[in-house]
Amino acid sequence: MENNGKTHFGFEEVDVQSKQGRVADVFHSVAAKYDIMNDVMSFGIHRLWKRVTIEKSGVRRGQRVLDLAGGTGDLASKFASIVGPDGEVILADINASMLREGRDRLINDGHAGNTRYAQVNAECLPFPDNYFDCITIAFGLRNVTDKDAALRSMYRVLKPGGRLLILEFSKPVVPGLNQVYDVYSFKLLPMMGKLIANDPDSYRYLAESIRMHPDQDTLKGMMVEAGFERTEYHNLTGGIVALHKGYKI
Amino acid sequence: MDELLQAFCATLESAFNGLIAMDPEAKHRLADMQGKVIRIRLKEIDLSLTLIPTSDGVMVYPLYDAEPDTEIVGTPMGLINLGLGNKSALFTGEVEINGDVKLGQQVNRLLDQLHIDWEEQLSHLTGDAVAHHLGRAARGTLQWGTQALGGLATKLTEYLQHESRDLPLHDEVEPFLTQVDGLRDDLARLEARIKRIQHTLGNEE
Repeated sequence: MENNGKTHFGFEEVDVQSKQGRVADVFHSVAAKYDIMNDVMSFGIHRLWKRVTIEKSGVRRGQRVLDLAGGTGDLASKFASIVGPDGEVILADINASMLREGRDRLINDGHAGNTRYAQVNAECLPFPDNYFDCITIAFGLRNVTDKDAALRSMYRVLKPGGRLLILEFSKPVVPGLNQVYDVYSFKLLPMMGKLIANDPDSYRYLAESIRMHPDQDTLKGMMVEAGFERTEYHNLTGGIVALHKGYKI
Repeated sequence: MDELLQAFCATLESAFNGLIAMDPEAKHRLADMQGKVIRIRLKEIDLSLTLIPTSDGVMVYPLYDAEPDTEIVGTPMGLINLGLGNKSALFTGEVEINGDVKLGQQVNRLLDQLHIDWEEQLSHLTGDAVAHHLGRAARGTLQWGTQALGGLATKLTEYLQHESRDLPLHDEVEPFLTQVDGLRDDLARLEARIKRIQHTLGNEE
């Protein structure tokens, strides 16, 4: 994605250094209405995509899970219910506003004792080597400036046998879906962003960043490059979203 | 397809958790099983569901991507029987519990002991007084229904046996069945004897 110190911010080309700040502004702006917007934008289907992610994670009692770009904590909350008092879930996000929303959500769901919160940059995770049984990153990787560095960092902190799950928008594979999806993303999405969150620009960025994100096979290749094995992906809703999974062996 | 299955499981999950929420004791019993992977597999139609008890209910997934701690395999009828508290399914082989058997029994016990206080739930909607009266009326109706059904069955049997004489009495059927058994045994013995004689004759020739 990077080229002469430039990277993508949606369809715009910006300096690598400035992307993080601009992404941060988007998420500060949408944090409070993130959940409700997700429901509206995906017609509630994002909950089913997240259910598939939990199912494929195979997390069980006593394990340690990192929910990266954990946003408002819906995955982390489920994991905290599964791992129990002898396990641990770390909700991490680079954005303080999103992390605050997530922390409130987990506390309101009654989770304490087996949850921790960390404001981290996915490119250089501040955790020991071989530390987690499972890492999930849902709708977060496309906002990371250096995705290869982030994948390497995740690989380092995973235990051997541990798995990474990436849930992210991808490229539709069903014929005809692309055109409908284009109209939806570039016309309807910013309009809904304006009506619900009064912030059409942030939602335009979301739509554009989805298009600039690597497709299924490219991302799979990037995971292999970072060291992951037995990598596979699973298209959801005609490839609008894909769930990638890989193991550190 | 994934989404449809997940939606089905999510519906099942919320129905199940609704039941659990109505039994205050159920949550304590769930705590011991938290985070364990329990797979329920239907033998004949190759359909499975995975239950994961959590701190606040049960999660339901089509096929959770982890080795199950316990697997309950059975025919649909066997599992329904077990769910209704009929333990015989375990002994007749209709239902098998593999893996952590203790956990399997805990699940079974949880289903068995799911006591839902309908009156208490109703009282949240209608207030205590109305719920109590409705509860009493429902219990009365249930009792009357059970008695009426029992009475009807007895009267119908008596009519068919004594009045219309369409059905034989138990005392008449019992000796008849014994005679049929005797006749069947005699026939088997006769058949064996004929075969033996045929065999002997065949050898002499």
